[in-house]
Amino acid sequence: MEWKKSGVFTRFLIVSLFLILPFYSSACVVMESPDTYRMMFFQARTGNSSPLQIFNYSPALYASYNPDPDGVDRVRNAKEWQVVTGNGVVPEDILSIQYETSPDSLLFAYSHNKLQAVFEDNSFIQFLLRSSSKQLLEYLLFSKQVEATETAWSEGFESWNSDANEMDAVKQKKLALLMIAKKRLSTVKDEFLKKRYAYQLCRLSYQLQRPADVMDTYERYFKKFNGNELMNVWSTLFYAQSLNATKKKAKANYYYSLVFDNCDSKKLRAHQLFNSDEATFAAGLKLAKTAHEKAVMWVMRVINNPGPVLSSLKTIQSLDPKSSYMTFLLVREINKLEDWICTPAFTAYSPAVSPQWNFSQAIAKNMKTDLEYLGSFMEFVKQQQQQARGELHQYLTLGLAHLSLINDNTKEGLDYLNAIGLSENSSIEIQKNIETAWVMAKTTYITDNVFKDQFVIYCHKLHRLAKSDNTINKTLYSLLLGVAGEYEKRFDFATAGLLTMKADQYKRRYDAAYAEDFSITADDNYQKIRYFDKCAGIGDMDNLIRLLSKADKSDFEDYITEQPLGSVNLYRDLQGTLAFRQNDLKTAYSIFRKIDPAFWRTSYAYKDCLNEDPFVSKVLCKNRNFSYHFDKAKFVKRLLDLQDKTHKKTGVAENAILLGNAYFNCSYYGNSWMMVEYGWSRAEPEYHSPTDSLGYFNQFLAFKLPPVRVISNPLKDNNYYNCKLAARYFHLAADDPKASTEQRAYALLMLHECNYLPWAITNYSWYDDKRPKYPAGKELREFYAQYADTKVYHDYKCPLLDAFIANK
Amino acid sequence: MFWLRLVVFSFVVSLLVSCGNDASRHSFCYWQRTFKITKEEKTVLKQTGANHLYIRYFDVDWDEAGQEPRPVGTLIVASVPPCNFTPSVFITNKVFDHATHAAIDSLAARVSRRIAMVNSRFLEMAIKDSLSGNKTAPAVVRGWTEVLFDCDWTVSTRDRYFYFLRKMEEFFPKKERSATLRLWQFKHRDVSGIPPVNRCLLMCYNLSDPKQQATSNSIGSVKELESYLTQSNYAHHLDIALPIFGWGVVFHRGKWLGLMKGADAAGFRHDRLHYKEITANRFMLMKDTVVGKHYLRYGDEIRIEQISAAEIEKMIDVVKKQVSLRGSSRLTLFSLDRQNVNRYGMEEIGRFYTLFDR
Repeated sequence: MEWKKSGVFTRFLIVSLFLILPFYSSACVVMESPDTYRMMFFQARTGNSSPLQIFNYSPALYASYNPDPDGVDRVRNAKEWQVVTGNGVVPEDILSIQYETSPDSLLFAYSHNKLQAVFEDNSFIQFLLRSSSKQLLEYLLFSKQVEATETAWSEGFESWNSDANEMDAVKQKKLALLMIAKKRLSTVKDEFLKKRYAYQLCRLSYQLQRPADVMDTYERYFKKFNGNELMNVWSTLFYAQSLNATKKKAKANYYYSLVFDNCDSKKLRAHQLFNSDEATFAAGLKLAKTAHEKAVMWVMRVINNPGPVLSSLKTIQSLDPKSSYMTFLLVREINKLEDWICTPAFTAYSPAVSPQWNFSQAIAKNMKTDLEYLGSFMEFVKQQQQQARGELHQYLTLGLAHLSLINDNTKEGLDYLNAIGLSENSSIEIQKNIETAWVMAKTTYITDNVFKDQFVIYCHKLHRLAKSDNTINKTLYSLLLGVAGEYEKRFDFATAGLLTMKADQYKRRYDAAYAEDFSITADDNYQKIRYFDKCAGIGDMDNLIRLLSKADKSDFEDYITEQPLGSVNLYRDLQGTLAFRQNDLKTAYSIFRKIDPAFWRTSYAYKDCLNEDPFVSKVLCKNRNFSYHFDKAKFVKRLLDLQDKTHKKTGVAENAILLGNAYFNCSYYGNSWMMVEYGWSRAEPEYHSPTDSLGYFNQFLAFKLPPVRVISNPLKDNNYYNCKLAARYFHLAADDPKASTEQRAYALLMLHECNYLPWAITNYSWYDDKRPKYPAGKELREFYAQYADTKVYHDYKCPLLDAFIANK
Repeated sequence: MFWLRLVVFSFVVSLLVSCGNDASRHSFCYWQRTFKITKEEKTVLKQTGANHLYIRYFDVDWDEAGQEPRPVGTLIVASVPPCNFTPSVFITNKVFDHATHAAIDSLAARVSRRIAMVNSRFLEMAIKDSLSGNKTAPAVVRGWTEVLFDCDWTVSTRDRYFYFLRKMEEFFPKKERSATLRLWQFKHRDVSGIPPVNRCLLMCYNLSDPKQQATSNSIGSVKELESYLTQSNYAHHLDIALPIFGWGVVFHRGKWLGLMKGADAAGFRHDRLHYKEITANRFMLMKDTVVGKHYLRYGDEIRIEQISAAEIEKMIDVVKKQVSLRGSSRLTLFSLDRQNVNRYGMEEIGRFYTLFDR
């Protein structure tokens, strides 16, 4: 028997993505999800959009929101009870019993005759204790018993205690409750109670896998859908699920859409269960009785779609011009365009490994597609704006302003912005501030104080609002990153860096609300210098240090420096390192000498990683001493002195060997790599992809790097991985006619190490025993052939070297 | 007459149970949430000659909120295993990162109780089946002889995981206990240690990181497998697991996005509207498309990873040459799934077992 394979052309529909890991932590890096670093400036809302926030444009966070954040259904439920209890019972007391009192405590109090005493202050319980309310009390106790059977399983994780017996007991309990519901339903006369018991019967029947019973109960007691009755709507969800279970998927879709449209707490569930395949969707659409109902089904189809959905929006608009979902869908589309157009521009955006095709061409093609889509979408919004009045008109104008700015059409954006009057909707006012700040950054001279003073006012305002609305953290992240980009264009990397780091703080704050265990695992000190390590020049560091040391900072300067920053010495150390990387020893020395030597014994990872004598080669050191007090200023000064001596041809071999050792130690393989780098890792991309110039950290973090700045790093290029500079000095020593035999032997051995170690790391594999064998170079052969009598030879000759010699 | 029936029945049962260990050498892993063996799957087992299943009973993960290990995805029992089987439990390494020895004592007890719980569900189902004519079903369910623990332990969690395995001996004194063994744990046993169990299942797949764009096939290759199998002997009886699954690895905007289930190269090659094959098994998306929750764009890359039948045959050959196996060593294929079986066909899968037997 051969199973039939799926059709090729339907393959794309049936494949699904799974195992998405939003955050990947390793020893010192974090991989962020696209949702974390995507840009989002537009967050204004109009109308009642809070029950729809579960469908916000954030693929990674779908369903992570509360489906009924305002508790609308709970209030509806309380109000339905109030109709039978009268106004003497306050809704808060009903809510307290229904949603804040556990089944156990209520049932315990009842069984011990303590309801009166325990709930003395609760008007709802006091009402139910009247003899005339006996049946209502019975129902409440019954509903709490049903609720108690729901707690056996918690989401995701299961309970160790839910063993077979217990599950069976729960099942038996549900069966018993189902029988009670049936019995009471047949006797109770009151319409309110009839509907409540019918709902419980639908619920229990569905849970006990009796779809036919659900459908029977629903059709008998509710007859037709009524969106105004909560029990009717909630029962409809079980009815729809039962239809689905009995293969009536199109009809199920129709009822899912009714639930979606008429109830907040079940919106997410109805959407999750909705069948979106073409055939079922089309068949379900035919069952819709009104254009509004059809429009709702279209809404359900696109409300979580991550791609462009303009054609569906047009359909919804034509079916239901006043659709209450439209503004929410428009915002989703704006957020998508921000993501597609702005995110690549402001965040790291390149493959970890150069792909086989022209990646930049793909970026350009997608950008063209997105801008064309932006144009079509704007036309659609314009049509709606022209017909809208009042707040909706303001709102759509604001959206158009934003879309113009995304399109880099600042003038048009400003025109739209100026056309919006004062709004009573605070969300619109906040968004106006954001747009104004963005326009200012694009149109005014951003280094001018007029801009800075105004910009910081907006930022402070947004910062305050972000405390109660997390999405504003995302907005601030996007806004600051955008403005940082403007400073980069003007080569002000000190301000750009501080703004970028501040943006990063807002991004992390936004993310923390959804992923509490998310934390940057890299050493915090590196977070404080990361941007400058990658982007800054020596002059930028001067500007930064000056700004940090300034006593009377402006509001703008205060704002951008109010974040976890390092000490001035940390930045000065980086500045000296930048000079050292350029091999500009004089400048490096002049900077390092300003730092108290205690800094390298107490700060960052220097105490643990920069604590050996840099003039003793790590690779040939048999007894390493980690108690050396490293002073970068002294080290650089000695390098200068040694270079001076070799230039003057004084003790060339001796001094060149010391210089060779020092530069060898400043390489990846040495004991003083922290003279050049701030992190040491085998996972650095240079070993996997020599063409990748972005660097280790950027491979994992979508941390923006200014495209206008490429910092050269001669010491890294010419020594850090390949020991070229060190080798130059060992050659100098070996070639010195005055060199002793021992000095020459040492220089040859170190030349071998300078060749072998870069070779070994490039050909390294954790597991592959069949990696190529290292062929000894001429320096090692010479060492073996001519220096076998030296002390160096006897000290360092080993089987590994023998093996190299043996390889031909 | 009754006694005669009883004797015959007992004989059949004893035959089934006794042949468990020695005869159950051709196996599949059954790693789905619901155990519902279909007619097609029964046919696969019969035609390929498979006579054993590793059945995933449940996973255990660390619950951050509760600060304790908790079960996840316990098997829903909807039918009875048609052949000998091994209950299998996957435990995340995170559990042993956090759990203390005291917590592991409790974990061991809970895991054993939960295995018993799933067994009792199987038995309940088997008794019902026996009433409908499948008289041997209860004996099959009762006849399991081995329990498998699957955990990608590391050097830092080794001691706590091994402590857990030793505790399991107290709960399953009459059963064989087995543990999965990753290839790095096999090769670097001096570092990883040797788990205190009766036998190990050597997993010959997932050899490199799928998240790297430079990886050619993270599921594995003969060459990579050879590089791990540098020592033939091992302290325990070894069973072998080989991959028959495949997937697509998706890179969006040049960054790893996720794995695409059910993707195979032949399908992508035919679908020229959406894909262009850049190099072998690497496809570039030619048309913007929504897949699940993701909007994939022109230029995104999908790397199809699967292992050809010829490559699996070579893997079997390498394993047989380079690992000391016993007569009762078992070959299991991950995993029993319609698409995986279709990828190779039943005849080819049968050949995998035959090659392993030779």
